[in-house]
Amino acid sequence: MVNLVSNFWWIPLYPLIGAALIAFFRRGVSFLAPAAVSLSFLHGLAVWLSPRSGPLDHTLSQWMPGLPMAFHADALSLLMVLIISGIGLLIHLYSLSYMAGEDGFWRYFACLNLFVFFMLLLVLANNLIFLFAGWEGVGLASYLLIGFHHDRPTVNRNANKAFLYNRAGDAGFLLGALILLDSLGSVDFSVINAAPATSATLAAALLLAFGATGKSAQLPLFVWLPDAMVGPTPVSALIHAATMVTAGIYLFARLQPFLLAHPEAGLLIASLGAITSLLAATIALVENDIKRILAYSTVSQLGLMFLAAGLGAASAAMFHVATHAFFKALLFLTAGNIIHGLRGEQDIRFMGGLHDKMPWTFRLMTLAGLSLAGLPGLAGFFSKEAILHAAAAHPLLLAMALLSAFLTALYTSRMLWAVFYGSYRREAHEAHGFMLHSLWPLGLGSALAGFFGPHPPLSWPLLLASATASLGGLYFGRNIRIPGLIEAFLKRRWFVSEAYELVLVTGLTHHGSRLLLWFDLHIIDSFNRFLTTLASLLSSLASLFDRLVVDGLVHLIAFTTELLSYPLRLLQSGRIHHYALVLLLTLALTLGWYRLA
Amino acid sequence: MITLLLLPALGALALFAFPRRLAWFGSLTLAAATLLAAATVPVDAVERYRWLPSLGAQLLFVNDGISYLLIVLTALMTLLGLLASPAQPRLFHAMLLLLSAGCHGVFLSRDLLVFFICFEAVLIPMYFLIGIYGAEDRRRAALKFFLFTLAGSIALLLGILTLYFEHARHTGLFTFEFAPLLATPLPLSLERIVFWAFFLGFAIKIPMFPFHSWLPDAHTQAPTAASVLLAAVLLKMGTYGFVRFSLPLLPRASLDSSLLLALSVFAILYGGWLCLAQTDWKRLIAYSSISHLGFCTLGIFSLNAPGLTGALLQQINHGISTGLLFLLMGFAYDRRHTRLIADYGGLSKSMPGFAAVFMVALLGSIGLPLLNGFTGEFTILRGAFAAQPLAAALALIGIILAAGYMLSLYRHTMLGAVRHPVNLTLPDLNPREWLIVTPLLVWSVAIGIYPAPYFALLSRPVEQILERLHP
Repeated sequence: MVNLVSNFWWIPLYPLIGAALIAFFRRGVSFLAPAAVSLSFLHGLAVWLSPRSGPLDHTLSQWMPGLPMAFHADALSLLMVLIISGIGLLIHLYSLSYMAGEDGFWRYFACLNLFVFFMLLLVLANNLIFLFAGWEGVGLASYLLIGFHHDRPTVNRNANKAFLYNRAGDAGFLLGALILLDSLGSVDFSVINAAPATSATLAAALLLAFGATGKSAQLPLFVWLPDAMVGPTPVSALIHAATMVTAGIYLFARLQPFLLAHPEAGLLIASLGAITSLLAATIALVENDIKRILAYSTVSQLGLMFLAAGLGAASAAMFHVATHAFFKALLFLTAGNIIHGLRGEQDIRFMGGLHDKMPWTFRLMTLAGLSLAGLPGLAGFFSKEAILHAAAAHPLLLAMALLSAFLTALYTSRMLWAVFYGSYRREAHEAHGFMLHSLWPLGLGSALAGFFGPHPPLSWPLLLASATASLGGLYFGRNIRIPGLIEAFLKRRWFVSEAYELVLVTGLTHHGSRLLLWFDLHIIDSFNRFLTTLASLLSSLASLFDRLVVDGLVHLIAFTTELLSYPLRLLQSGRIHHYALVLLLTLALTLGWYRLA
Repeated sequence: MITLLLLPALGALALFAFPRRLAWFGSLTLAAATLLAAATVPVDAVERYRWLPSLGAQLLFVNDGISYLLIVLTALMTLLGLLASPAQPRLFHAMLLLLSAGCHGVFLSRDLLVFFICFEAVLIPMYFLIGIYGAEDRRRAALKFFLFTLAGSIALLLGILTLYFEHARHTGLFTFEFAPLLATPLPLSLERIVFWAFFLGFAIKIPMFPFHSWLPDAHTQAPTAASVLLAAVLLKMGTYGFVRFSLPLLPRASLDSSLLLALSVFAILYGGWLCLAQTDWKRLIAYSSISHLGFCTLGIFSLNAPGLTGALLQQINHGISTGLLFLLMGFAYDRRHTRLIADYGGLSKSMPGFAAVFMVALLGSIGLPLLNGFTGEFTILRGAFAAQPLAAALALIGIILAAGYMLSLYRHTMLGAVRHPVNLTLPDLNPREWLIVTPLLVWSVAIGIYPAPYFALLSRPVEQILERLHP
């Protein structure tokens, strides 16, 4: 019997093996994907339930000098493991029905399994750089899955956008890690969390926070998430709602003592979160695409989690991560049912009256929506309450959080009424099979998960304010009318995306790179050509010297020799009678001389 | 070790004794034997042969961790390059073999004259490979390549001769051998002059900004196998030269490296940014090389252990990833006979295997963790950060750019709707092509998840260099 607890580092490996097998065999083995994730879930559950004396550690190998491939499991990691593999399993099962008949079925499951591997790696890593392997890996898997339908328009563009905004965050993350590695000599979480605050570590904290805004879609890098909705809906549920986007909050929770030592960074994170939360909620209010509403809602909820994590209430943030994972995954999957039932329609203006056509989807989505809106008694209420409690010391942030909670209820209510009531417009059918039955556990979680969290001490004013915000929002959301001018402004999404587009894509990429290319081809190349011309000019001079002086010398010698040899050459005429004459003359002279002597 | 020179060089001549149809198999056998010989050379092996005692030149070959990785890379790339060119004539195969012989000489010789001769000799087969077997504008590209690198070589030769005569003037001993030359007492001003002479020779070869303009032309015009060897091996002769000769022989002049750090960072950003404007698949990879080699020189001129180790590892990684990218481009070219990105698109439909391999190659190249590029780049960045934090911060922008141009290339070639119907009929990778890409994929993953043996190989040579720099 192998020891599941001490071999906890196998947890991420099952989906990796699953992905490899599916990619190798391609046809007929996609069932391995949910099987692999369920192994991870069961293994995680076994470790969670087993009596542990403390955190578990395992070093697999030395990766780079001073940077081991080291795993660490404590309550925080294991909670994330259970969320990832549990909800991941349900979404894998859902996908078996949802993606049935799609071209590239195997590719989908291989990528989904790869995602689960990287995500589990991320939460089980024991140092910042090994975590980074998972951190970039989930970005890759997200890119591959957003781009799953790559022959549709805008899909590839949006997939690239998601990867690049993530990578911008990742560059900041890496710089933060480099600072820590340089100043502390190690990026083990235990070392970072014990480090005294200096200006260098503050810079590192800010840079890591910047990295988190990329992965968790916050200001200034949030614009990729709504565009990522072109991916298949189960992917949006798993990656872009329940798990990957919470990686930033996980990082803050993991580094909580470090953040507490840098309250400036914490306050910045909290403020970014609060602003993003409000901004995204206002945009969700005017969106008509059901998935984009949910995406902006996710950005907004992640903002609340940033708020709590920044203020040092990591447990409240993680609580909201957990409840949000249930109700937002459920919202996305029920939205998937509706889109599937309406054959691809995503615009809520063309939905309506679906409550009796899709009764179970209706009930589950309403439950999830109410939980998101923070209806007292449901999971979302309790976790939001914990966040509000954490913000209580900062009146401005608290007010922003409450306003965000109100807006949340408002847009949720607007969406639910538009989808399920009003006039029935399109032919629709209820989902069945895994697409319905994998939702029950999520519904259970959306309703009840709130009872298992860390409950802050009871505070009646907060409770009242939160309940009012929720109920008020739900009430007013039914018939909300937004003035045209404000609506038009909000529909441009506060111009954030446009601004980036203008500077980064149009400016730097299209025009900038072409200008640079012109510079390279004309200026640099001419400079180099000038050097070569100079070189050939020099060689021409040398050749002139060679011809006039060196060759001249040689020719002089040749000429002299020729001159001197002329008489001799006359003797060698090649004619027999000349030779005969010379021979005769020589003979005569010799004989004559001999005679005289 | 002399086998590594003689086997391919004499083998190249012997190829002409083979019947035409068997010559390709003959060359493969020779390359495979050379690879086996290269892989089995013990680290720290020394071989010495008398050559020109009157000049103080000899055949002195020394293997260490740095050289070992490079000769294995050279031998492997030669084999794969030959495997990728079955339709080419005997002369082509012979030229490739000669090229590899010259490269082995460069990476193993510790006699500066022999090093220089090999450094130069490599130019000749490459000139012919580009000039005879290249694309439409091959003559001009080959001449440009030849003239540029020749100009650098002259400077390098002058530098070497200065060192040689200075050494003789002080010790009375005329020698080109590396070890005694280390002790040459040079005045700092002269050391600086020699350093910049060496710099010209090596920087043009790498190429560093602003001497890079021969590279895109040469790569675009060269036939696949020549591109592969040019990128994977020939460019490394420059970085190798810096590490092996410039730093230890001219340590005081090397310490003054801020300009070089700046040039390196500039090359990273400049090359990456230029990639965004490319419309030619092969030219894009060529410009990306400028950016990646910028990382290597950044590591080298950080002048510390992580920087140097990372640079030496990264030059292998660049060889693997860029070699793979050029091979893949060649496979696509064999099918479509065009390099224009706009002529492709949607290839993953007809060539899913090709698209998958391309994705892995791309990810290795842009430095995704758990693949080869990251281990090198991150180690370089550690070194660069310790030397100059700003340089590391700016270089990090390069990794965003890398993702930008590579994913854009992938998107416009592999993904999207098929714009040219002919692309739907292209066959996927055949067994020979799978045989070519598999070793590189395996090597890429191996370095990504278990780079420890490479760090172990490089640690001692790097220490020796650092002892010279910071005694």
